[in-house]
Amino acid sequence: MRKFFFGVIFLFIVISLIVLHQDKPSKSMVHLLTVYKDYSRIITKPEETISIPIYSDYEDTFLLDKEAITSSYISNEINSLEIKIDNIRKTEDINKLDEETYTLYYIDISFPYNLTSEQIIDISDCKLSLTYINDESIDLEIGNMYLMFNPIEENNQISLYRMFALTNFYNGKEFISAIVFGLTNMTCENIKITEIDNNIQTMNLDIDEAKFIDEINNVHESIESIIRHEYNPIGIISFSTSIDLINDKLLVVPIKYEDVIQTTNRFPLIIKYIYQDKEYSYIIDDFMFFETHNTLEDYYGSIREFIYNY
Amino acid sequence: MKKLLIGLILLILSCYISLVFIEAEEYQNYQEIVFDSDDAKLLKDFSDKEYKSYLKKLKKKKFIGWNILIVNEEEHVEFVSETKLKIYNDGFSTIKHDISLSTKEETKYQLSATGSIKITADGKFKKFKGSIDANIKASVSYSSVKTTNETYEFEIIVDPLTYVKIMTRGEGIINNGVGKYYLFWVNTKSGGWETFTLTTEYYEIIKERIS
Repeated sequence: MRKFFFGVIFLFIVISLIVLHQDKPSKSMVHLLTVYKDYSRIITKPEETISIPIYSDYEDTFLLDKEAITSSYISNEINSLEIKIDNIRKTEDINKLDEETYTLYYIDISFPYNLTSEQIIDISDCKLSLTYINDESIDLEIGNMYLMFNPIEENNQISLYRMFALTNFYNGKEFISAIVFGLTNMTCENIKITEIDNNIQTMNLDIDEAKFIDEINNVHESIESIIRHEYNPIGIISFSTSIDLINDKLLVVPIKYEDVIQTTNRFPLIIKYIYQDKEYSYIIDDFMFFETHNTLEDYYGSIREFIYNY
Repeated sequence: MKKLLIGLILLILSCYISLVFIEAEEYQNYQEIVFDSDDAKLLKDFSDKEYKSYLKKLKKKKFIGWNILIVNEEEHVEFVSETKLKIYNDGFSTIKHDISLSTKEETKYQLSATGSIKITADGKFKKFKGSIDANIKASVSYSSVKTTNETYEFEIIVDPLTYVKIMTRGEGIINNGVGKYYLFWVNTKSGGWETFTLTTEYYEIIKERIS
């Protein structure tokens, strides 16, 4: 009888230990990290999504459960836009930062309405605000959102036959130093380019320093070697010149950054031009010019942290 | 009869030895791969003589396991990849087309092997078969970092009788070398290995007339 009694106690202790071992201690605090960056996009249809990267140090959190979200917005102090959370994707990208392990998720957002706007919707210093079924709300700092809601229209005056970026390095980070365009004037008259805009406030295409060339094959070609004089990629541009479009030549337009050099690699291009004394725009959808395989550590300095306490 | 049989076996063996099978991935088919260094080369470009001389350099015998030699370490390469996609418009009116692009996870980290060194798949990710994988991992910067990048969509107008293609150029890091396997200090297997890590990709839009 005594043996049976001890046996039962022993079995109880073993089962309790197994259960305790399997039951992971629940976290009292979740760290969500975002990368503060520029999102300049042309939304051409309601299904189009923007993927926001979020790094989390805890995988079993309701904060990254799409079904738990009841409302979602992107906003700053001036503008606010309701968004739809299309998907929250967990990736296999595991990153270490300050001894903590983070898993990369993407929150895919879309704009579920047929909106057209000639003007750019500027949501600088944008927060992604999510509200959950338990009435909890969080605000994630994601960077600057510059949005246009436009269909890409056919254009009978200008045609794009080639486009790529030149890049360079600053403090070990790669940045776009110029955009190279192959543009054809499809009319019999002169077309004057007056401005090329990427909708990003602090990153401008400097048409004053633009140059036509025959060919370029090295994506790291320096601006100085093309324009044949020194060029500072940081500064303010003036819109003092216009360019007469020349067929069969590549147009190299340097990029000038207002304060600091940024690593933004994707944006649209709006080419403003004058044809028969009237102003027109030729819109190129946001294009990914280059892609570097960064880890979380590479974003040091641009990381924003949100701490949620259970 | 016995001589004939031995002769046949020797012939089969010599054929087997002279054939160097390469287990290779996508990067081997890039249109162009250019090393920064003039001396560096891909595993597939090793001559028989070079390959044998590298194997000869592995003199230290082991009780059991692989000995490896690094021939090219952390060599920077530039490449022109395949055309990602082509959209033809052979009609007489313009078409609007959505392009959806994403970098496959497998293209960021690729392997090649020759001889007795084999490649195996660990889920989505490939690695060298057997203990040589750990030897290479310990010797060169070989991280099967599982990265995922965003897919992106791009809408473009394709003029009549033209096609649009997206070209990719890129940069990466190559490590390669040879290895010998020992069992009771006897060399039983040997082969070549190579790792390719994609670091950056540059995209280019090109529109041309359909000829």
